[in-house]
Amino acid sequence: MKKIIKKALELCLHSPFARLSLLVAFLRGSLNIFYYMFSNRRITIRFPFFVYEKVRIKGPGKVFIDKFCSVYPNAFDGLSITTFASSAEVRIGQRCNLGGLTVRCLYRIEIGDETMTANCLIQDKLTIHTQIPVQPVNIGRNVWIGAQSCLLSGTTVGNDAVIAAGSVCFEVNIGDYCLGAGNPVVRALPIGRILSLKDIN
Amino acid sequence: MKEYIACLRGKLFSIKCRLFRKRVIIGNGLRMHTRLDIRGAGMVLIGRDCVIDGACGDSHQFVTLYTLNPHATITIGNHVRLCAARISSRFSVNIGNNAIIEESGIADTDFHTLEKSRELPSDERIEDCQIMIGDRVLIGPRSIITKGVSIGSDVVVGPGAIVIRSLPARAFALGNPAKIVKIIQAVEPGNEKCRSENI
Repeated sequence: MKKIIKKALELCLHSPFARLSLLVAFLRGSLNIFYYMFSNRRITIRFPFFVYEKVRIKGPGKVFIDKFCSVYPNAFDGLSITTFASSAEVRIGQRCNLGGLTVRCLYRIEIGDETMTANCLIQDKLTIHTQIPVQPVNIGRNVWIGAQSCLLSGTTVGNDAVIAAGSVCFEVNIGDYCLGAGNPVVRALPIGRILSLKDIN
Repeated sequence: MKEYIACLRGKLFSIKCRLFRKRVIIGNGLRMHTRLDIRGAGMVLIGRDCVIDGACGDSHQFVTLYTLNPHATITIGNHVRLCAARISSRFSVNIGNNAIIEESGIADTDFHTLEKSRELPSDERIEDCQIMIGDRVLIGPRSIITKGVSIGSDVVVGPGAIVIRSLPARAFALGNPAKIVKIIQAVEPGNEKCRSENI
């Protein structure tokens, strides 16, 4: 703890305006927290919350964002969460980087800790068609989701997994420490094997 | 309250089109939640009780209907819901009744040739390039429909799909290029209610 304080002090002394954007983001985030605290009781955001870009949360469902999350600008787009029913539930873990994420929820979406997202779409329904059943989306911790990718209903992503840019996941199970790529993703490749292939070359 | 504003906006837009744009014909009961951008000299026909809406959770996007030349036509049926759809036509684009189109791109031309000059392609004909979309079709977000595709009725096109070949009725297509994952069973009579609800 002492080391962290010492490092922070050194940084502040070295360049006093470098941390100004962080302070602005912190103030913006706390404004957002107070706004949603008074406007909608079903939305809870834990303190502190760092906001660099717009945050829009709509709908009658339950939304929970844990502490130390931050919203960075990604393709000039912030975080937007829409819930369609009062039984819908969105849960986001600690220390997530949520830049450019769009969430549309009808049933349940869970995102684990320390997840990084780019400009991507997560929704647990395809459309409002009733023939295709609605299934929850589960994303583990420390997952990296690439740009322009879609995670649709019935997707489960394990811990430490990576989802490539432009891929579409639908009713796929991606295991721990695996890479999912393609449109649609058929099966996931373990990252350990890919790295070992690289070493031989 | 929002519905009233949308109705009023739709009515004002249809009056404006009737006065100044003779080639845009809009039916009764249009509801506009966001901006509708119509450009070009071609014909645009919109049926009764259509809804113009933005993408869910994204206020920047709006509906665009572009016609590239005076002979181009865009025909939209009754009770259609357009959510931030981008349609551009050089020949003709037909959309049936009760369809729902989310933030996807529909274009019936390639816009440029493969040669170095990058001119307008001269060998395209209306028989090969026109797009026909049937009744009660659902087109998911971030999907693209290319030229010469005809989609049957009751089809679901999944999100992120890129459709380059025609799809039969009641298919569910996904992927790049779009493949038929399964055939949907016949629509029950109770489902009609669900379709007309807000997305």
